[in-house]
Amino acid sequence: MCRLMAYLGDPVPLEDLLYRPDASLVRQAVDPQLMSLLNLGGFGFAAWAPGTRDPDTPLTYRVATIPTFDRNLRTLAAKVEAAALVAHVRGVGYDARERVGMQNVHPFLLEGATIALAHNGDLHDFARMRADLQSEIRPELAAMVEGTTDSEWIYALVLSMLDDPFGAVGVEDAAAAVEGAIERLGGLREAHGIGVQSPVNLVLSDGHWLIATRFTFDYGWYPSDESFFGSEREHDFTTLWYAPGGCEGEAENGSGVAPRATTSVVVASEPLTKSFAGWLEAPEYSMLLVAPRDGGGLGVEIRDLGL
Amino acid sequence: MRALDLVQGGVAVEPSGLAEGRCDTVVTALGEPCGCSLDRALDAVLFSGVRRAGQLAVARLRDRYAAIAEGLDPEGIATRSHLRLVGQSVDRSTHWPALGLAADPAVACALPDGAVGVEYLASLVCFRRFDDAAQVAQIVDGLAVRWAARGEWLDREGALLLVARGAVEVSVRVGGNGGAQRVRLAGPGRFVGHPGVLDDGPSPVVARARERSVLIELPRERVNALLNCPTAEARHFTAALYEDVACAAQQAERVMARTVASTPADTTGLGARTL
Repeated sequence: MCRLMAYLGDPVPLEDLLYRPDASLVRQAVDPQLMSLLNLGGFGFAAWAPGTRDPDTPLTYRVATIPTFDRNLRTLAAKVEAAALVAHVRGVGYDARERVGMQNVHPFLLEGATIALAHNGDLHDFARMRADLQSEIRPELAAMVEGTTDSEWIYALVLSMLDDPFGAVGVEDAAAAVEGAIERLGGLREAHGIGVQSPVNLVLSDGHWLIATRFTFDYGWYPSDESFFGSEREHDFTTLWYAPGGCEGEAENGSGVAPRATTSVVVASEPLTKSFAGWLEAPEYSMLLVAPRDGGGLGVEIRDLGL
Repeated sequence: MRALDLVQGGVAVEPSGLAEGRCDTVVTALGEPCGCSLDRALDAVLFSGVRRAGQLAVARLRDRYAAIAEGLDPEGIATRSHLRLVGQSVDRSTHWPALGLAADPAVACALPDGAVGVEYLASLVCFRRFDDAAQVAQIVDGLAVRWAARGEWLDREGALLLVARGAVEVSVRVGGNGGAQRVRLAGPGRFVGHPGVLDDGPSPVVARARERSVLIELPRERVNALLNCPTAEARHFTAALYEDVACAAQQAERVMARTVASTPADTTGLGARTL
């Protein structure tokens, strides 16, 4: 189990996103509000920083340690401004069998690809379906997978659904790829008789748009083992929240009504503030699409991911 | 045999004071205690307060559902009248197939071992305040267990459904054209159908299984009997049920918040309502 966050909007210092809020992602590594497990398995981000060299290529930072004590991260976050961010703290079971290392830290960004992805969840019994899943993935992508987790394979599957995994991708094409990947995972689970609850909360971005899912396969069918998911009851449908930010603007039709122009959106597994005011809970089985809209500002669309 | 020590703020609970039964404990003051005693009559008054709060929560939930239906429907008033028809179960639109639950869960699907065993049920959120699994067994004893396939509409007016496995989606109808707004996803340990059972009014919602689900059916008569029963397990059940009502209201409010936030001008009516 993990915690993730993403941002799209006006450039802001990374410090404002990662540290300043009183329940920031860095704090969630050791003090999450909506889960009992600590997130000690590593930290990473991909940040798109305007004004830097090759701004479409994100600055990436991944360490297998706890961000709380990371002085390099702290100084970096104070210096860099980002217009888009995908960040993640990795939660793993307190078990020596878990593989904690750089290769398993999110977000994933294969060399040459434009989309970064982070995952909050766990595909139950993934080992049983891994071989069949691999056959669904383009060989050149499968060859680049370094880690041992289901998350990186989900990332490779999403990229495989695109016409060109290494080219520029529009938000609609990316959304179709995500939906296709979830559908394919569902088919593989069914083929292998896997019917245990498995959350697939994803955030992905290419710096121009942001997509997030709140989705769980077989919700309500808890694993019978001693795992985190086997005992979680309170927040059993893995949470996802978002906060649109912006300012009052002039009405386009001159009617005097002042619509809110959304100029930034934060998405996170749980609110980054102790107060939940201003945060909206994403519906279960949904996909959030955040992208620039004609006329300025950002559009936020929620789509149902279907049965 | 010494059972426990009491500190400041503690309550010496005499079992016969909270439920029917004989007194089988003795309380001995080791110091000079100061406090007050609650006799059975006072306890009944306190618990009636819980029930009154619960009834208010049900009314509040019903109001939330009505606000959502009204706010999202441009014809507003027409929706309200349509909801009354729904509640009387006399007008089932063709858009809303009213399929019953599978009659025989054993035929529909083989359930895993312990799927609805008492030990498993005792782990669910609604039973977390129960003292032990035996109390849970007292609540579910003799109740029918139903199976619902994914996507199946649930038509059980007059009964509460406790989700044991899977998930049920609860929606209010919006307009007369088959539109709907999901107001709740009820997972394991959550109930479906409180407005209509707890307040005897028409049900403002429809429900369908979002996942393959195992459900425990509590007929209205059984629910009422538990709400009026002074046993410890019945009181735990009452508290859990009303807590679930509050949870449902909270989920409905999140739907309203999203709707308001996603509407540039306040065309929904939700923003102007006193909630």
